[in-house]
Amino acid sequence: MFQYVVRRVLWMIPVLLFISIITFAMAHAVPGGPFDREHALPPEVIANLNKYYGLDQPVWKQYVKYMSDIVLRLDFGPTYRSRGRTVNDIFRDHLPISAQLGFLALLIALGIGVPLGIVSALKQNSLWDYLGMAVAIFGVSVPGIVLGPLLILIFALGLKWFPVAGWGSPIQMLLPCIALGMRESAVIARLTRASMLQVIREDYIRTARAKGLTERVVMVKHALKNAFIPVATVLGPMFAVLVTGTFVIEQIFAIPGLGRFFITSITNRDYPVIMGTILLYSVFLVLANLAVDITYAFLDPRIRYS
Amino acid sequence: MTTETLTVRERAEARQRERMGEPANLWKDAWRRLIRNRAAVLGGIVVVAVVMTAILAPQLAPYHYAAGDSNEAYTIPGWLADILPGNVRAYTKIGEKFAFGSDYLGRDMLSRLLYGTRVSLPVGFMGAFTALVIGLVYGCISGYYGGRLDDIMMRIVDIMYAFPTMLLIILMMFFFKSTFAKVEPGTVSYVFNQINRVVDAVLGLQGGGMLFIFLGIGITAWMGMARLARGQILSLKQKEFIEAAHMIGAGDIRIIIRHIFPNIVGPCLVAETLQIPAYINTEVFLSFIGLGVDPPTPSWGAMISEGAQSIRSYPHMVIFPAIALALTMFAFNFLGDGLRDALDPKMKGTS
Repeated sequence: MFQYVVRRVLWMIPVLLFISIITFAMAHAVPGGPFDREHALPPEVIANLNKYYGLDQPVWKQYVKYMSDIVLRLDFGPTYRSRGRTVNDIFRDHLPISAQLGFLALLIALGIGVPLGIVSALKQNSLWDYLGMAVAIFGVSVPGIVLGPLLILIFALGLKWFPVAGWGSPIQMLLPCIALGMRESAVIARLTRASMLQVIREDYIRTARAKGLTERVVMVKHALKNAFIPVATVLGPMFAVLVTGTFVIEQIFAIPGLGRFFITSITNRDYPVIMGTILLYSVFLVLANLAVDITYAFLDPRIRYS
Repeated sequence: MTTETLTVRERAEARQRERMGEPANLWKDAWRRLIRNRAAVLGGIVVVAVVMTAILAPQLAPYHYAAGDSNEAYTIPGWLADILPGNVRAYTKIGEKFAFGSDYLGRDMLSRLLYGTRVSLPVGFMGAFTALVIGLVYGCISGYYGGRLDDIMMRIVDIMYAFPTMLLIILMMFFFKSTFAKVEPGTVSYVFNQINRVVDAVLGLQGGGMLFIFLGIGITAWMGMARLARGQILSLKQKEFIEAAHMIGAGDIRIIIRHIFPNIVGPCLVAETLQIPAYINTEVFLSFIGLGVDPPTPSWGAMISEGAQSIRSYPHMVIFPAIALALTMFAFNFLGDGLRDALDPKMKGTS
């Protein structure tokens, strides 16, 4: 087990290195520089700026310097767009907001998805089952980009129950979290139902019933624990996507999260921000997957890593 | 035709059919199951309707998608003004010229919606097609030859998976947009630009830049398909009929194409049908952030983006593209689910 974790953590290093190289190369391959403005700056100014930020160096040298700064000092470099600000500042200011939004959305997704999936599996072909499937198909068919504006229209502008946009108070958080979490709740509901249906037909469930356990114990202790394994696999990437902020929801609800920087950094050729956001996301993704793989071992004793 | 005119042989066949029932036919059975699934049939009808809309857009649309008069911006028809929240009548023009109102440049919303199918549908189909072709070839090679080659090819897929797909597409779209903006004859980007122009002309959306969206989605979409195809082949490779084919001296290419391919194409097709909404969604997302089709091409994503900015005052700009998108996605999801249940009844209700 310990060996397995160590091997997985070591495997992260080449993956992240590869991602950083590709991103760095692609970001620099895009024509134009970070200091292109509507009103072109004098070439001398641009040359000075390039020199100041080390952009006159060969790309591989820039890459080595960038990576060693991160590894040695956790310094993600400056942002070229606002003087004196660093990528670390951007993370500090905006990541907590995205993390909050993502975490709440994940809670909503789990809160809706898991119970709905369980109920529709236990009462197959009942009204609950159809409701569950309706939610599931609704969730995958109505993306946040559609759900966000519709929620605003109905609940904020029409019924005036919620504020239209903004972030901070719990009442402001509800609509964006639903808009963000709906799709994931559909995915979770479908998956929970499917794996639950599979599990309750297993022999060990029959055994558990045969030895006289109550239905509740059979379901909670024997069925649910095993049915949750496939659900856990999708939670990893899901969490990473949600936490690093989805641009669309943040844009629609005017939430000052990190999602915006994923896109503006690319259009601005703000290389350190591009690298920083993508690396951050990748680290989240890789760590989340690792965490999922380790929780497997606890959920399913048959899985042993060697 | 009466019984008397049948030959002996035909009569024998008819008798056998009566006794044994219809011979089992995968596609016929699947079709029958599909037809019985009401949601799938409804989805299929909507998909056909959307396809027809895309083909007949110039005939159906009352105006051209790019034609607009700023004097008529934000016009809202009377029926719509009554159901919209807030006091829309107080500040905007009410006119019956546009069935669904007009946008911020006075362009007809309905016409733009109708032409929007010409963006969403090709993106969905081309995304699925590219993913299918690349993924199948990649997965077949990796799964069939196995060993070290398989290890390397699957590690590459693993790394690609760790890469945030959305960001890769964004990076590539930006790369395409800035690289292919300048055209100099004789260069690679010139060739791409010419192909792009042909694609846009075929779709009737001049200056849309559709090829680059196809490329961006296609390049990032094949990994799932490669894994699926590889998994299918791994289980198929051990079967007796493949061994038999080896025995009689069939070559690798022949075995892959004649014996393996027909057996895995069904599940792969179904998986890709279910992915079509995801590709449509990707284009919508790209256009939302301004990296999708170039204006004035009417993408639903761009329309939602424009509408979301003035959602308080002019909600009609966001409602219609949102509903159109949701309807299309519903239709594809219903159809895809139905296809999966029909082709593989064991899979029913899973995934």
